[in-house]
Amino acid sequence: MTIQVSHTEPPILQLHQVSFSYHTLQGETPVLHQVSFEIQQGEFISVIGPSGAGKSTLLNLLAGLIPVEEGKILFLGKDLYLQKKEGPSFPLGYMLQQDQLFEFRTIWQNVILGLEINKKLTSDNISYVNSLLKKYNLYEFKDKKPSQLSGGMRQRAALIRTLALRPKILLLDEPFSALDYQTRLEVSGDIAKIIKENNITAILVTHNLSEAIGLSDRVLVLSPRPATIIKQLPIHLTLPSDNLLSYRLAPEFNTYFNELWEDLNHEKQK
Amino acid sequence: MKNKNNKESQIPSANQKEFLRKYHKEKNSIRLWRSFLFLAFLLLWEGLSFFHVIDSFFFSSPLQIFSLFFKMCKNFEIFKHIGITLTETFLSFFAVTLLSVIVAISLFTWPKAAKILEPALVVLNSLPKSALAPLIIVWLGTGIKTIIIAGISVAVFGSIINLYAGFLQVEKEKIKLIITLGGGRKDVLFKLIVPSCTPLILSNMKVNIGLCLVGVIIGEFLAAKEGLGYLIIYGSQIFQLDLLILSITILCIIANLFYKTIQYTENKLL
Repeated sequence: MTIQVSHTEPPILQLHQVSFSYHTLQGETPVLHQVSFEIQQGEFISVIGPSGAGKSTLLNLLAGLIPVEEGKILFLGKDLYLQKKEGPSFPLGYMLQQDQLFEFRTIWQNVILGLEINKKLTSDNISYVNSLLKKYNLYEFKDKKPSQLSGGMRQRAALIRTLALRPKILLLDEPFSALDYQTRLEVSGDIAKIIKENNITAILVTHNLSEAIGLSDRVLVLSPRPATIIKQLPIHLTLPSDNLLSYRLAPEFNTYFNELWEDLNHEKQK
Repeated sequence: MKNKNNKESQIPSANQKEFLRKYHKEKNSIRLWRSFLFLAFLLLWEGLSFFHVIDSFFFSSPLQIFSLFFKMCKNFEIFKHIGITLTETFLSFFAVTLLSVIVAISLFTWPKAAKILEPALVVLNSLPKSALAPLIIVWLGTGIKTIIIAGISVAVFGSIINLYAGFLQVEKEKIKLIITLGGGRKDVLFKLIVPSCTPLILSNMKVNIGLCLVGVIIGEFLAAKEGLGYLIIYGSQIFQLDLLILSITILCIIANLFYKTIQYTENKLL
């Protein structure tokens, strides 16, 4: 799954020595320690690490929900948190662990929620959302309530809600973890396809190694807390078919899997 | 009910018919028993007082109460008292609903204000509100204003606390979703909290109308020359038991009608 990235282009996202601690009355808990990496336009990267390593904190920082304590996060060279504060055209879309569709809204009202909040309900954007709904087989269900849809359909609706704002980078916080195994395979394939088709840069946080290897161009491995990046593993799979789900059959899959597995276990034993 | 059944199977089976027959039979028998017991109670009461087994001076009798009712209907006196109690209750109910929604929203918008005011709210809510009535009389004198304030004081603090606690129970992840879509506190409030708390607001109203009635009756006991509360106190002071029992009966019917009306609205809206 190689992506032709010309590395002369400036990276779309840069993290420089980002550190972060949580503060409570009991004291300080360092969560991230001097995390640095870069992402190129159109790249799909995964972040894996032991639970409690600070993956969610990293996502909250990237989503501009909390400011960095030390270091810098730059989007196309400009400070990311300042951009969040400045205005509505924030370039990062965030897909949460659960779909969080509102039951008191129809699917249509749910997918345009972001446009509504940002006052961007232009005819252009509306037809874009309609085209996404049609393309991903949700158009006939646009007047239904979320509870009338299957888990996979709900997850696709949640993705369209995020895509409606045309984000430059998509943050995925284990968006498949709430689904049953079969739906999970189907939806992760669907979503990876949607992301590739729309040439969106994506950051997936997961603790599922197979998913990380199968979906991404590069896997970042975090150490236990305070987390640093201990490895960046570029992934090149020779897929036996067009089907994105066939990644397990790629000859390189096991090698990558074992390598990442060892890294994680090695860190745990330290 | 019937329509739904027909949709599923055009011709109900013999077993289904048997089930429906039993269901309606049971329902009718309960209705019959209720009416029978009610009539028996009235007859027993009338009989005991007619044969002087109980003293009709202390216990009155159904016929006395009915004849008083028709007398008071003829000179419209009863409607005047009912009208006054209803007006006072409605006015305090609207004030409570409006005040508590506005205050709860304000507390949610300014969490610091909520923290500062919390002890005051808790103390005011745990106070038996009837204790406030004499104070209100001293400040505002007797009359409709005092009684409306008494009605408000019984319901408003609990209502604020209930609504605010309900607002706080909205899932944190859903709030995060609004923020990641670029929304602020205002969007959280009007796109998420208020619509998802509509059932809470309605059930809160159901409790409030009853409490306002309690407050208004307490107020009328102490500071009124008209209204059902006044009739009850007046009836007990001059030992006119038919007036007292008639007023209580009318109160029962009013309280029940209030409850049914809001329940009907609830079913319509949700």
